[in-house]
Amino acid sequence: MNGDVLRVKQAGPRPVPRETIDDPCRDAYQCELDYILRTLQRLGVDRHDVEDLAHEVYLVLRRTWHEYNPTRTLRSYIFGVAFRVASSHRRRYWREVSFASVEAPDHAPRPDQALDSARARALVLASVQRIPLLRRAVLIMHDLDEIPIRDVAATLQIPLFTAYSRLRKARREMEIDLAHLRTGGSAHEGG
Amino acid sequence: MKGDDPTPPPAPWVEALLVHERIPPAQPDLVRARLLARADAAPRDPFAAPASRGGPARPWQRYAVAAAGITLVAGAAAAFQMMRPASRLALSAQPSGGPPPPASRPSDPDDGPAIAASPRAAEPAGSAPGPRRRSSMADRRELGVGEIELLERARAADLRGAYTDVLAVLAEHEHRHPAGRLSEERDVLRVKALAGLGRGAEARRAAARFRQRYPRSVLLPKIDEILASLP
Repeated sequence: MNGDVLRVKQAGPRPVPRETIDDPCRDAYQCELDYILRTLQRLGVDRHDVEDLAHEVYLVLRRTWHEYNPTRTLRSYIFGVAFRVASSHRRRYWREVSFASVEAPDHAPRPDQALDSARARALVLASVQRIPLLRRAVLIMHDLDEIPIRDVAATLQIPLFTAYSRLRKARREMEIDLAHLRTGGSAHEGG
Repeated sequence: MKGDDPTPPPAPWVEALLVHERIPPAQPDLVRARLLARADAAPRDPFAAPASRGGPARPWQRYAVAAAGITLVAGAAAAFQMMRPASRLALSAQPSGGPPPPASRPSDPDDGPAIAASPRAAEPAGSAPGPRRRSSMADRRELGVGEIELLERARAADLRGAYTDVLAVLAEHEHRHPAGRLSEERDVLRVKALAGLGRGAEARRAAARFRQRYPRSVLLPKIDEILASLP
């Protein structure tokens, strides 16, 4: 792996225009819009539905904003909302993510080939979307959003041990799947 | 971040891939503008809790919210009068003195034509009618907005302390959206209303049903808080 990939600058939330400063919920939505959209994608929402569900996330955020505890990270709160919205959507309309809708690269890179950022993201997204949802949520929160595992467990309302267990399994599944994708495989054996 | 993690960390080459995905890719400005416009056009909740993290609302904001609320209620009342003959609602369940039902009442997906009336309810006042390209997902979203309207009425009654009204609106919600997306919120409000009416035993039973139905709900702390307030 090229060492360059490790020198990725952490992108912060986008600046908020002054005219929206009096609506903290709307400000949070605007700042974290990229994160919300990406989280919904990671949770398996079809790209054609992502914008609609992002709007639903906003409606729920606004309705429940008074319950947000600012001592916890905003992203963990947003993730909890997005997870519920995506889960509800999934229960009703979800279908298995087809390979046509996964942003997998057309040509899997060779293992020794340096991956550019977009390709790396596509690989990770494709791999994450194949992990069962409950385990995927833990992995996304902890390994991608870098939320402490205790907050992950609290947000998902699961025991800490369960969170660790799901994380361990999800990591193993992702590693197998990523290795498969990188070597050019396209089939997926179970989830 | 990984200091408290007893599980084996991802392999270095996996970590090298993950580091890219930790940064949400920037969405096109067009997408952002579209979503923010939708957010700004969403109906405002005039009964939202005033404990804003950004500080107390300014007077002009309160007046604007009140005016918007009055406009909404008046418009809803007028529209309700027009729709009344076709209404299938049990009007007896509507408490006297409570806010009238919203202008459009999207019902369950199986109800078909009733859905068509729902999108207008979510539009800002004064928006011109015209052809709109709507996806099936957008229609489903509007159903969610219909649910939200009912829950907002319940929350408004809750804030007034009109718990009997809350239960009536929640019954209507349950009738219209038995498996609605906001069932969790509805059931929490029911527990709270029962507790508010001093019907502690019923509140506890409703709370037990909630736990059984949503064992991992993020709203369970709220249920605990309500139960703790019972004598």
